[in-house]
Amino acid sequence: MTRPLDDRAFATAIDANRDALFRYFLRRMEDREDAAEAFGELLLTAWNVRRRMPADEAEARMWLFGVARNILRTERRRLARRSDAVRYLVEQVRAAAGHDDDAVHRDVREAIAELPDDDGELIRLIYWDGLTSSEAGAVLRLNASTVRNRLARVKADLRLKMSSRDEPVSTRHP
Amino acid sequence: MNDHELETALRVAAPPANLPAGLAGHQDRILREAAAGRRRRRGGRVAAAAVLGVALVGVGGSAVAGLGGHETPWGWIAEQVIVNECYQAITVSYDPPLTEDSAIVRDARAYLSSIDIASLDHSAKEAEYLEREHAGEVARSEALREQDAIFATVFLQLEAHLTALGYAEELVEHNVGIFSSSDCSR
Repeated sequence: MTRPLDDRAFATAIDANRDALFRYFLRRMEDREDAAEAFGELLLTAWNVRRRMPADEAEARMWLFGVARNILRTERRRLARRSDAVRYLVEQVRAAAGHDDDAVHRDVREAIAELPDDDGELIRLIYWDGLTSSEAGAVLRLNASTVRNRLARVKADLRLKMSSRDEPVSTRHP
Repeated sequence: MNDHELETALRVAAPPANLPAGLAGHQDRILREAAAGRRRRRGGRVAAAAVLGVALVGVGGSAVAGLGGHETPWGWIAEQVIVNECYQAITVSYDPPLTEDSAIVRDARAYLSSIDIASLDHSAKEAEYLEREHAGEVARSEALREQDAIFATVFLQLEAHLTALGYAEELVEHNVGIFSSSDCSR
């Protein structure tokens, strides 16, 4: 049985992963305010179930990312319930605030966003959050060989998508 | 595009994630407040809290199943799982000096696992919530009211059971609780 953490070890695990977890939300949510709220929710959730946090440092990190992912999914469901009009307002406010986005990077992010949920998250965890493929597999509850195969397939998909976006418009739409 | 170029493109496409100043201080404040709130809640009763960003929407209907020792998609071993439009797991929580091996924790887990949620009479709690909503509390959907009533009834039964087993009132009221965690996205 996994040994539960005491409160001091809990605080140490949170301290060690705080920045990475906050960035996890920042990279996946449109608004910094939503990211801050999600991070606060993560702290409260982790606190409430801290006895379940594994004692091993690496396992605790993956556990925290797993909790973060769960919170993100719940938050996305909430945001998805916004009406079109509210969504439009959010876009206008964002544009007015001068959100600047490099077109190339935006294309890559869009290609990732078009992937199935777990595939996209695998890419983000590895290339945005800096997790190893086995750590990302632990967060997504995938075994090592599944991660390897899936990663190879998803990268091939992305390469294809991104190459086709790089092609001149005239060759894409003859 | 070779593998190296692809990986570089993926890395540099990470959205900017500049951390706000004083994040550690915010973290401390949030956790201190959580700890203080927990102590306050425990003034008169066993703590019962819903966690993991609970957004219980549309949990109506009768597909409520009580199951023991279930591993949830997020890695808990829950004593009870309520499966409906949302998936809700309920487990025992405890504070020092109790440990996983404490008799009261073991008894609480065993009892929680044994509750037959499908036939649980939660009508009294449901009526109480409805009355409170009529008196001005924020109204919730019928399904959410039912879900909350089930959770509260489970908690009350567990508390009564532990007291009946002869555990000290202070121990029951201050050191043992239940938590639930929900996922509505499945």
